[in-house]
Amino acid sequence: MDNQPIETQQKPYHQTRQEPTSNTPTMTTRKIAISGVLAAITILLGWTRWGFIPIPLPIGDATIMHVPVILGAILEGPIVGTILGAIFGIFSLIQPAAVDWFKDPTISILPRLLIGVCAWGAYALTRRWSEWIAIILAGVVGTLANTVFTLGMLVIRNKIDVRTAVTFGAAAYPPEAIIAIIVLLGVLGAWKGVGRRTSSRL
Amino acid sequence: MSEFDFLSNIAIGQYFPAVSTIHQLDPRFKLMIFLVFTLGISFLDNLTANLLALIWVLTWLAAARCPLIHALRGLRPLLPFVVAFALFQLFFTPTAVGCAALVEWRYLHITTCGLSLMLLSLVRLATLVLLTSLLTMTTTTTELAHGTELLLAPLSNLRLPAHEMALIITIALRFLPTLGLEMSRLARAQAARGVTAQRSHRFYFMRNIRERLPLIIPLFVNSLSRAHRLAVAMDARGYSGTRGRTRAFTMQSSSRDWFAVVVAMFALASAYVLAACLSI
Amino acid sequence: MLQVSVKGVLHNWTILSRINMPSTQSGGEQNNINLISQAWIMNDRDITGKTKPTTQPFLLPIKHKNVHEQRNEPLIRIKDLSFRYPQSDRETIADALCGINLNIDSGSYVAVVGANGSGKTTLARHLNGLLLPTKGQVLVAGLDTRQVSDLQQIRSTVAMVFQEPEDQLIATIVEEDVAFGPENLGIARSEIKRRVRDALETVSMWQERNRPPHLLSAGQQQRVAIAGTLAMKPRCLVLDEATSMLDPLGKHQFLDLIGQLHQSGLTIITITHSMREASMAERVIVMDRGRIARDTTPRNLFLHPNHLHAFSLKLPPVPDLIHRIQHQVPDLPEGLLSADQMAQALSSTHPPSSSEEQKTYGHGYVPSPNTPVSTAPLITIRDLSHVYLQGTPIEKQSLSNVNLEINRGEIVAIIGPTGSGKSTLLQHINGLYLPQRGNVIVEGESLNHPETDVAAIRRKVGLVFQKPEDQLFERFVGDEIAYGPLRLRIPLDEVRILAFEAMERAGLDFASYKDRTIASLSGGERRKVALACALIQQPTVLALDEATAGLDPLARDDLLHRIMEWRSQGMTMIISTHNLDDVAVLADRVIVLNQGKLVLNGSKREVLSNIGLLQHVGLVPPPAVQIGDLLRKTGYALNHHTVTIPELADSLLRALGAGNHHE
Repeated sequence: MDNQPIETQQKPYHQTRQEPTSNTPTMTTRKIAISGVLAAITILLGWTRWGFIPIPLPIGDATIMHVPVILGAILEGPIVGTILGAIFGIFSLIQPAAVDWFKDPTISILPRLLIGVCAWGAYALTRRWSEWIAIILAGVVGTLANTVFTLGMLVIRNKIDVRTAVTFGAAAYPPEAIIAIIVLLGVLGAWKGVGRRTSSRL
Repeated sequence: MSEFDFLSNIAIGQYFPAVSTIHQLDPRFKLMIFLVFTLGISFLDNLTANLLALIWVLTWLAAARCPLIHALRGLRPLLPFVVAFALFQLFFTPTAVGCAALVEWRYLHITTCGLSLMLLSLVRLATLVLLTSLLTMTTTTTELAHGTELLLAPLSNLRLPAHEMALIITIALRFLPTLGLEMSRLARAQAARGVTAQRSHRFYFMRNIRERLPLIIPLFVNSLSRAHRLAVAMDARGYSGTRGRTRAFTMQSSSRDWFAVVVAMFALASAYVLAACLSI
Repeated sequence: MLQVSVKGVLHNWTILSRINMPSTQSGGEQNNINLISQAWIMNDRDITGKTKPTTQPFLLPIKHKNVHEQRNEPLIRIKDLSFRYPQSDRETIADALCGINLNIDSGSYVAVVGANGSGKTTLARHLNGLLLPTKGQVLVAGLDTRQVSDLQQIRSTVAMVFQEPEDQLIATIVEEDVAFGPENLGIARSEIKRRVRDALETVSMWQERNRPPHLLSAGQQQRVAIAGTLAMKPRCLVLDEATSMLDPLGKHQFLDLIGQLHQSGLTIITITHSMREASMAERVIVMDRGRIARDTTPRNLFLHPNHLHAFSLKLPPVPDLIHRIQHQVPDLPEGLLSADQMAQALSSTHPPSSSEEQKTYGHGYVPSPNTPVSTAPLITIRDLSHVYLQGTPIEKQSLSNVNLEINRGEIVAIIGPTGSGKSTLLQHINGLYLPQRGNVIVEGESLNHPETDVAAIRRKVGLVFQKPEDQLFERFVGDEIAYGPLRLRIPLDEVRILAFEAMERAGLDFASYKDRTIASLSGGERRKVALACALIQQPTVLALDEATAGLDPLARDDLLHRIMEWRSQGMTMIISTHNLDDVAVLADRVIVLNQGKLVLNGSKREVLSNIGLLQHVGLVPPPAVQIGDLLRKTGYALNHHTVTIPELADSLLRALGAGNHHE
């Protein structure tokens, strides 16, 4: 259907799936299950505030709420990424927030739909060179998509002016990208054994 | 010591059991009303009109017999941020034509525009937070999942994976509490080997990340294994997409639901009319 | 009732004709079919008449005609099946399954056993098309699993229940989860509702239909999973290690239910590590390195214990006991599986002696007052009480007024049913919980004292939880084990030495394991890594929560062996478990918790032989105690304090020897 991600080291179960003959689209069961569970993680990261990491800037905590979206896109492709982005957006709409900005569906949902596609694109394009670098790029691009499109929408909806948006983005983006990359490498390293080093430090 | 009991701090589902008309409304209608009203309020840029909308939402909360304190509970940990953003808007709102300066001192410019924008934001925030609480307090997670599924159903005609989306939401709601319990288990398991996710000063940025990894990585990895097992179980139970699938549980709308729609649209319209009258 | 008994007879008759041996089922079991499974059969008949023609008639041959048909045509037919996992980037190039030929008859009860990696689960997943053969063919009720268009029907014919209870429930409430299968099959709404009700009543979960799955116990979740399959009206139920995560009570109820379902005509295929469960089946298939090594009856299988060892399997308790006393009672009939049968046979060949003196005192061990010589206790717990989630609507008293002392060098087992407060108590000893009321003193340091270094106590009392997955987060084994000391800024050279020692003690070879990725480890190996992570902190006390849950028998034996070894090196061990077989081997002292209260604190033999109390709190006494009790009731003068099979065999031999002597 779309990209076939790197084979997992978990015991794979493979199955032939019926080709969709009707005009209803089909997702494999695994894509559905992974999306569901990652969506649950997104919500939990927000609720328990595990997903917010204090950074040395006065603009508040850096978030890793978009990391499940990027992870879903890397593992299962752009459709899963988009759906997870939508759920991330719906959650920030419903979640108690400090500003009324994110209570606006055009700001909380629309930009998030693009995180998955962008991250997947970066990953798919560079994967053939190095799995490890592709993951880093997916983190870089996915986070960039989140920051740029969300701030862009804030500007479009006339909540902030361009200068504030740029300042905001420049401050928040680097730490969020770093965190996203560290978490992505950690998770994919533990899950599939992907990584640069080939032995432990011992 | 509730250091590890994450579930006690967050109200999962936040469902507030009470007997009221709003509790009994068809969740599809509630979701629709919620979405339209939220969108409507977001584009409503008049302070007085927003106050009117707030009054409407408060009336509905009273009708649903939900205590106001409960409805605002989620906002408590965010209060410092609310204040911070209010001040931000007060000081950094760009000056525009027709704004009278209230305070001008070095870089600080407080204008009437800033003040009214801050008040507008606060009122709108209160309205939307209360509206969300109204939805989640009167609707169980199961109803929410079904409501979403049925609302999304027409989208599958547009070749969008609507049914899948609904199933994903169901699975997410199903695994929320499970993963919540898992998080407290993970925190204990790591604390037992001397790892605690204690926030050090925000200056030690990298350390803050590294401290969090032993908790976040197992959470993701365990969840991915769960997802794989769940997928096998779903396949074993004959899941093969939407085709030929039936639904065991459905909803029926009644005149009451349509009445609710009328009330909600009237409320929204009244706010917009008020805004239009005031801007003339 | 008539229907049922006729069916029962027919059913037994089919077994007789098929495996050509006396039925292992006692006559009494037929009466065991309770009202619930009767209702199930009746409903099934009602429904079969009405279902759509596309679905085959389900379940049981109630009519004679069906029985004949199904005797000729097996339900599942596997021809020359070979299977290889597609992406074998690991060095395992060998086939996971190789040349399997197997027929499974309708209405049979088959157990599949074998060591880890022998291909049991891979075979099971071929039975309903979750995996497809690389070579060969699997036919389910005549349908080829490779035929994609038949997959759904195959999966509704052969349903599966998996190991992890929580990870197979999909919906937010029980009722809707059960409906998931029938919904997939496209069954009409009213019919689904009826099936859901029938299925939930069969597994006694109808009362809980509106509860969310995460609030159910593991046993209840597993019964809901069964209901979910029953609602699809399967002809065969495959249980893939379905009981391994359950506590004794849950396991007992689950197996009872399976027994009833089998009585009502369902074909049961159970993949299991437990030889006790395998001996419930009519037929046992032993898998070894992807091939069928033995295909026989439990009775025959357990006649030759040496063969079993070759497949790294162990005898179940009763055959084990018989094997140990066989040289003295050669005339005992072969192939006895249950304690009842054995007691009966034994009393007919070697009647118990009637000597009064022996009945009073018994033979064998004299219970030793198992008090280690020690001065001050290592850990003292005073009036400890704890309320879980205090101040929330779901708060629960999880410990109340617990008083306890743990001495240096002891192995203390904390036992009790699920939710009795075992885990909470362990977490108090380790300082993860600080006392809400009462006090905990570890090596003279009170946890209530504000200046006590809790982090130091956590290092002193190593606590390892049940699931190693909850704490492993690095890519490599070595990094994982070194994480704790490196965090304390201990130099790498020293950490390397510490890691070497810890890994050797945990049973992991330093050189070959340190650079392996955690993703490539088996469950047993992950458990060892978790243990090494605790051992590297050089704890004085090691506390294990649900020490052996979810381990296969080999890994379990290895762990028990290591625990004894650590104790001999001077470590104090505290183990919480609901598996009393472990306790029988290991513990010096046993503490029984029930609903947060300390019910009994005594020596292992004293506690484990107290059958009444154990059953009262919902625990299952070790098999040796149960068999011993039965034999005593039959009249044998046995020691009251034997808790393992070798001890029981010893005591029984003495009793028999003495009996012969008197004659």
